[in-house]
Amino acid sequence: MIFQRSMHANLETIASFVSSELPESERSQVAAHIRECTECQDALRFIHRLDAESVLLPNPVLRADHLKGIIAARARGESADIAPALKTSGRHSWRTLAAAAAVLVVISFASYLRRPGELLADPSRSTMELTPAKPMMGESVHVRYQPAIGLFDGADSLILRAVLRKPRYPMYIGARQVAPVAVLRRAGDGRFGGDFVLPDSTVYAMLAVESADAQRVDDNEGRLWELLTYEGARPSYDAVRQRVHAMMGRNWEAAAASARQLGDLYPDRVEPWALREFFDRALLGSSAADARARVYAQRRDSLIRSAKSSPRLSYEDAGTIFFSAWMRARDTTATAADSAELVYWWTRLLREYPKHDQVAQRLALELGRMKDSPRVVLDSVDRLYRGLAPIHGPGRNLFQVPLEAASKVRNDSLQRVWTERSLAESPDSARRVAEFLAMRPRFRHEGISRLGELADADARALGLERGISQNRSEFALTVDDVRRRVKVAMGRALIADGEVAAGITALRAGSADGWDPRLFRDVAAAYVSAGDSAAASRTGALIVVDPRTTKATADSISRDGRRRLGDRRWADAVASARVAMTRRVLAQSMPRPLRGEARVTDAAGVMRTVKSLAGRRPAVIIFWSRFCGFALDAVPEINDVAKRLSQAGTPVILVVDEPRSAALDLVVTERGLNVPVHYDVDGSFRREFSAFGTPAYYVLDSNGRLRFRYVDEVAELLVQVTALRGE
Amino acid sequence: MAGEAEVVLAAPRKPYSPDAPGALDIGLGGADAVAAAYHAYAPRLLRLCVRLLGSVEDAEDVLHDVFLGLPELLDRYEERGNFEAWLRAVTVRIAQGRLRTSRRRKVVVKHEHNVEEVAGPARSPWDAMDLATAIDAMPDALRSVFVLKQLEGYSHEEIATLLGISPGASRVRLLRGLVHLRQRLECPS
Repeated sequence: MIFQRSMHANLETIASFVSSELPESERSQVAAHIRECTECQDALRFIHRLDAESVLLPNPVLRADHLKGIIAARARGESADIAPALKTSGRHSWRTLAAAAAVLVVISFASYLRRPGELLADPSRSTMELTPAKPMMGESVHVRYQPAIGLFDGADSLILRAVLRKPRYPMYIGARQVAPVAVLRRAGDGRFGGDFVLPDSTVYAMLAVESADAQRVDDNEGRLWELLTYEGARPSYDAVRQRVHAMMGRNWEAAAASARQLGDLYPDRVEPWALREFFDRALLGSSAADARARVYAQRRDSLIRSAKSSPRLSYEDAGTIFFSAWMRARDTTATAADSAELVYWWTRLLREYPKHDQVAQRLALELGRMKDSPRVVLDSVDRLYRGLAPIHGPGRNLFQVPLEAASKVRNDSLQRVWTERSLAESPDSARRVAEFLAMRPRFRHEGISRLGELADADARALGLERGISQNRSEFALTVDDVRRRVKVAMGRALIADGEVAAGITALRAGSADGWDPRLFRDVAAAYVSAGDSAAASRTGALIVVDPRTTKATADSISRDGRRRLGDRRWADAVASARVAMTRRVLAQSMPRPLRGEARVTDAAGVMRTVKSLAGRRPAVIIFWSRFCGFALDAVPEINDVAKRLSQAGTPVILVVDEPRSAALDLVVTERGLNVPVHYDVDGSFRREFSAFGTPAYYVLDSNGRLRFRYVDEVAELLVQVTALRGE
Repeated sequence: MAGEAEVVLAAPRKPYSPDAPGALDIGLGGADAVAAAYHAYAPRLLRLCVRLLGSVEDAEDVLHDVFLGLPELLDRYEERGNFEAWLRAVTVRIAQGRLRTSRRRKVVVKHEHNVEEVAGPARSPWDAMDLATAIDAMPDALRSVFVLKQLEGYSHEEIATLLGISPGASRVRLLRGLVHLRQRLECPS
């Protein structure tokens, strides 16, 4: 039956809507109806809940002697007559044909009914309205938030958290900038509302909503909600610039778009033209960017000429103009005029902003060249530091100079001073300084003492704060991971100090959970130095079973293990290590059901869902983009890992956010990308996985649940899939 | 540091050898290969069978038959598709055969709430344990389609082939199954 907008959708239709099995035209009719019908919204809520609870159904466990019974029965010559199970039924072949014909009729007729341009309603997506939409710094903002159906059912209040960025904040997002800003309370219409005041210093904010217990977070499918402060009708220069900075490392294309917007809104500023050139080179490659760069350079040079007559430059433009002159003077084709320009702009920078990041950076590089005079360098840089501190941004290169010089003259005290100075503003400085001290005999006792205090310290003492998209459980895993590293560092220091028993206790505590072969390597080495070769071998078995370990390394460790433990005990150690890997890796996973609405087109133009691509096996999803330098650089490793996964029968689904085109095919060919490409034209895959940047990696289990996301490195996929296959 | 000294870091990558055996391994391998296949596939097949049959004992019987007859069955495997998918289809058919016979024990799995999981103020109106009980209580014909479609992700066309019904009948049974579940979970009185 054809669904019509005026009628209710039955549960089967809504289930098909959720799993994207309806023809597009019927889907839009159903979506429009659900948007307006509370009865069908309830039904949709039921199907979502059914999907969510289905993945949590208890898993039965096989009887321990079940396999033995099968083997014994085979040994006795018993057989099972299961051949009939192979027969397929042809009983309803005419019905199948008739059904197929009926589906075709439905598709054709529904397409005919479809209204052009009709919006797809999406009650499964949250919305947030901010009033005023164009606030000024320090203004009060009212929030109206409508969660996706089923997301915060039963909650009366929610917490609004924000990353609040000030004008001089450096690039990338940091958890330390996250703060709760408002409580949102449920109103009579079912929406949540609340108010907060933008701090005077904030120019740009990113927002997320979470439950009161911080276990469920809505980060707008990874995008976060955004708020830019305005000056009149246009967003302020600092707001857009901070958006560029915040998008770095998250989504280069969004960062580049903001850089372009900055230039469009503020064409008389120099910095946006340099930013445009930077992003063009990063996203398009040097050759493609050259033509555009010439246009930008003309504009930039014209602005720089005008800037000479300006009595005072902005902080950003002063730095950008100086840096541009510096780079040009360092070029092999530089002329005397270029050198004179550099002198002019250096003088102005020192006069107008003597503590500018670029001042520290240039002086650091000049001092770094004096490699043969470390003591002179140490004296000079100390004076510089006192004049320039606190140092941010690129100026932090300054710290490398004294650290290298102090190392060269083997002066532990000066290394300590500069380590503490360089880490002074890092949130995790307490831990990193303690680790530094514990590694040096002179300060070891102090280091061990500090590490001991941190071993079970809370997150704040460890310099950790929960990210805006992280829920409480995910954050707890992060904290546990850092605590383990502290314990391992303490164990190594104790053993180096002769406290072998205490050291081994700390090492055991540090490596009892989590899965990090680099850590196991450290632990095994510590066991060897403590003379406990059996423990070293058992730890080595953990390295051997990790699929990222090379064959030569595994063979070498295995030979050593067999020699120390004997063949049988070594085999037992390896078997235990496999079980441990499965348990520990899966303990890091956060099962999350998918809504099942995502669809991509494959190379043949066929629409595919996650289920149809993944089947009932663990599967890997990779989001990739030809416009992202990081994604392009990752191609060789993606090829390698995808090949290994595919050989083991694990589907690898590589997704791009554009339709197939000759330009895309060309990049894929030139880069040698060997993984079949899927085209997420309507963005449903990106929404389903909250994928905002590339490359991004996700792992599904055999039940179609999302188990791992934001995998740090491609090769980690091998471990996670291996663990899921052993589940 | 003798243990570390032997480690060669810049070695060629290890060629991948999948840990789950394929059809060829089992056909050639005897008891060890059957055991390896059992370890690789039996846990997931058990889950499927329990959901189809509503009884762990019946599910274990089905798996016993599947793995007992597997080496001989492989003569019929044409290596055209995914081995695990083929094995699952065989298992579903054997489970269906069991549903139709009187051999079925019909010992319904007892699902008990884990105290830790339900502790706290935010307990939902119904959860996975309630769902498990409701699925067990469904009529066989509805449960089979519900399990294969909603939990296992088969298409109606695939279900039709597996169960010997039409895709339309599969859709109707799914609708009736969903209504049955909703009534039981949301209006238990």
